[in-house]
Amino acid sequence: MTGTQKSLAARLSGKDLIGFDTQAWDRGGAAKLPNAPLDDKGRPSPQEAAHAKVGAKPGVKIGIKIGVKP
Amino acid sequence: MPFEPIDPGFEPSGARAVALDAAMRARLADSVAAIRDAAAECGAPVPGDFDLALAKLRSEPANPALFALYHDMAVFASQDDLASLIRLMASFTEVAREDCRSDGVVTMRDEDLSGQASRYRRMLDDEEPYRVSLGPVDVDTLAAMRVRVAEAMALIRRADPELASEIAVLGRQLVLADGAAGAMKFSGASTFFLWGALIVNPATNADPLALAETLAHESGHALLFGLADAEALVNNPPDERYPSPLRPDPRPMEGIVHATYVLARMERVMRAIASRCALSAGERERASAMAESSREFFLDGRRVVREHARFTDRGRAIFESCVASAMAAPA
Repeated sequence: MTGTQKSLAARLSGKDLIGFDTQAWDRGGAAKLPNAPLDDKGRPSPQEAAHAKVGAKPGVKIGIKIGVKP
Repeated sequence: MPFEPIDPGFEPSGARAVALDAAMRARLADSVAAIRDAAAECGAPVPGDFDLALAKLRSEPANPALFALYHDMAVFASQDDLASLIRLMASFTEVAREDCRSDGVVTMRDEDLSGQASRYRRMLDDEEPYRVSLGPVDVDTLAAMRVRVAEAMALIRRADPELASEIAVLGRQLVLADGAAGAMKFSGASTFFLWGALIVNPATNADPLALAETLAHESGHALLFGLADAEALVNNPPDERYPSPLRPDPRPMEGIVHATYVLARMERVMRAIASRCALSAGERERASAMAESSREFFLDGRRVVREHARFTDRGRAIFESCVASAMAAPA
């Protein structure tokens, strides 16, 4: 990749990809997303960090039914 | 977008579900086309029949595996992994061009899921504190569940025909998954990235009443994914946690709104079944008790939502309709 060529991620940065927040893809994506979720020690939880890394929007992977509280 | 704005109302509608399905497929095709264009600009070869695959995706109900493949295509694109993306574009084309063999009651195995069983699992089992197993069920369980699904859908159809029509679209593919090997039990699962598929655990849906409730629940999540266009319903940061009406672990507000919404559907379907279906006295009593339980959990969730949710405009319209309908229903 030369200095004048845009990377694949940069070409898609800001594009409308359903289910994904692509705003930061031209800047390395993950760590720069403003709402990257943190655990109680201030670190991204592994799974949610994986989502945040590529900017999967909140709400698109939420529907698991794991028993009703007694 | 060439689609009319879709009614955010709580009232089930088979026709609306068909419109939502068409809209989601069109959005998927547009998103995949954007990835293809970017990849081509980077020198990637585009499969020869890629455009035909996208045209087919726009024109008829799609294999849910395509949404999962798209998820991974987007991830590879975000990582500048062009070689992996090229491989997935070929897989996407192949699956999209298959005759749709994905409908009906199937299980978590490659021959039922266009070779994508592991991808299905990965779309679903991604929450660290709640790892679940999603194994295939045996042939006898599959046969028994096909009967049970027919019985559950007959109950729903009798009780609430539009809800049955909606479930038939949003859950065109019911994937049976065995959760026995997992640390956590689950009854059902759904994700936008398997649009058109609902996951059901036979062990926790051992009779038609329980299964009817789970189908109303999981299809409610799918409906929310579609009504919100896969966007968030709330603006609360995802690291905020609130008590859940359904789960023991604190959840993001997005999850609380989802849980509260689907509880309203669970109450609705069980009340309708109790009042309109031919049931034994014991079954009727149980259906009523299930409705009552969902009602209590719904009210719990509603309190948390009212206190803390910061809705998007679309999220507010969707949830207010839900509350208005639930509160107007006789408890």
